[in-house]
Amino acid sequence: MNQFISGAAFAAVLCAAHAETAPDTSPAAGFGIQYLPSKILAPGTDSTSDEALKALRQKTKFGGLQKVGDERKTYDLASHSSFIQIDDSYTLVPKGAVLFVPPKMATVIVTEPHGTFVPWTEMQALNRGSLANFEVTLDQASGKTPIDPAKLEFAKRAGNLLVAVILGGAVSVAPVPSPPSVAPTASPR
Amino acid sequence: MKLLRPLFLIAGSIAISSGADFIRQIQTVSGQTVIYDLPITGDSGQIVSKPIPSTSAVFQLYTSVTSGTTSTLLKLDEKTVGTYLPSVTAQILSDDPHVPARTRADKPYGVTITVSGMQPATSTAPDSAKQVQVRRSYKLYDPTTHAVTATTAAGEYADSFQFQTNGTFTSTSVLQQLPGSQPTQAIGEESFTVYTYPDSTTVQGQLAKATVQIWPVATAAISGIDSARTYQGVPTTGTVQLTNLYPKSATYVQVYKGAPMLGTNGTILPSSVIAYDSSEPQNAILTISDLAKGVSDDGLYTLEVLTTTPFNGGVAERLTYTTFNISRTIHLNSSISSME
Repeated sequence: MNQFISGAAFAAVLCAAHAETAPDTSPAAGFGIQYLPSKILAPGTDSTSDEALKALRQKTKFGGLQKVGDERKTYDLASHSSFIQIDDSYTLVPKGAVLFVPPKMATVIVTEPHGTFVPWTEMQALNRGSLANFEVTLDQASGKTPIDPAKLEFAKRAGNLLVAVILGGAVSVAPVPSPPSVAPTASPR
Repeated sequence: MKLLRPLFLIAGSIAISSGADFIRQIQTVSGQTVIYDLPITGDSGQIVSKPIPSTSAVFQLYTSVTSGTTSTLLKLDEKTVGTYLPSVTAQILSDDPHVPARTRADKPYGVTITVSGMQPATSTAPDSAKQVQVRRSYKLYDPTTHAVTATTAAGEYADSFQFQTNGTFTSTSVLQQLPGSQPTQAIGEESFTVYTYPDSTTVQGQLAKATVQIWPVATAAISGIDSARTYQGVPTTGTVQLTNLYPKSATYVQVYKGAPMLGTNGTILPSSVIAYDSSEPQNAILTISDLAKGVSDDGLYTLEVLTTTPFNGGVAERLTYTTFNISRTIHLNSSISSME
């Protein structure tokens, strides 16, 4: 159900007056007669039954549960992250932040991490021999300018898994758009 | 592209008792989504975001919750900021003034959404500046731990509302719709979340969110008192099992002579009074040890378990009741005969 709604219509979706809660000066919590509310009123109703509540629900305008597949697109963590598993600890970085995975570490990139979560900065500090930061600029992260290939190749030689960072924080790196292809021109005879 | 601000300060206290925390900053730069993760090293203070060279950015606050040897990451909050985005607040209304907002499964709650800075429909501003969308969602809690776990369900309702004008919009009677076969025993939370205008190609950012906890309706069971039996003395073996007492409630047992009748003020048994001012539902077992205080002459008596909560204007609700007969007069059937 998707509806445009005015303020009055939103208010009319459901309407019931709000009772003001009277202040109570009795002690808050405990066991014994002194914990009774200062003003005792005779019971007015039985507690609500499931049948009564179901009937009340039927009178309420409600669109039901969202259909599978119609869910809102979100920046959910799982689909926008890469997970790195080291022994019984894991970390995550934005998807696109992992710039290089040496062949010997191919198995550390996982989709279902387990164990204790450790933030990237801490995980990198604990595993300096295998995880490394690769500082990039915002223009490089947004794909506006390419990462210097010579600098990246040099970093790869250390054999560490490289994660793009800005000031120590992991950042995704978008691919640099390919230049528009140029139609081949006929070569002169 | 307009530079929103050189730096954006996420101010306020970030107080988390345990776990590793971080903020994820998401923005679109030159048509590409750029995601930063900002580690949080302390329990309080300020975090300075990365530069925002776009017209809007989404900030998500995450923490890790460790159970046993496994950590689960939970999103604590999300906020979207932007140059053209309207300013939106969302607030829950409940008869229970507790913070965070809460209500009982059978009690409606209200929602107030305030929108300002929305551009008129005729404006040439982006669509995201001219309307917002409100969606309603839920999370179930574990009925024992009263917490969100990896196995508890969550989802969105199909209801969605779109606002195209500035103003304050209030709905004062929203009834919880948490899925389950026993609606009075529903336990979880519902949220009204205001998102940026939905676009088929972009992900919606969250502008505001209001969440209400839903706690079950309390139940009670009396045992040890047999309504079919006539007692020759005041019963002393009665107990009351109380389940899911509302976090702020006073519950007690009263006794009065006669058949059950709602609206009767009886004698409150002092040993049965139990009150809570908590953040989650409570269970208790009461022993009815002073029933004699409410019993005078012989006859039929009614025993009622009552509870008062922030709802119903302070009027108690009857959770359950039973009756018992007392006849302390001993009738002897005998005959006297003599033998000469």
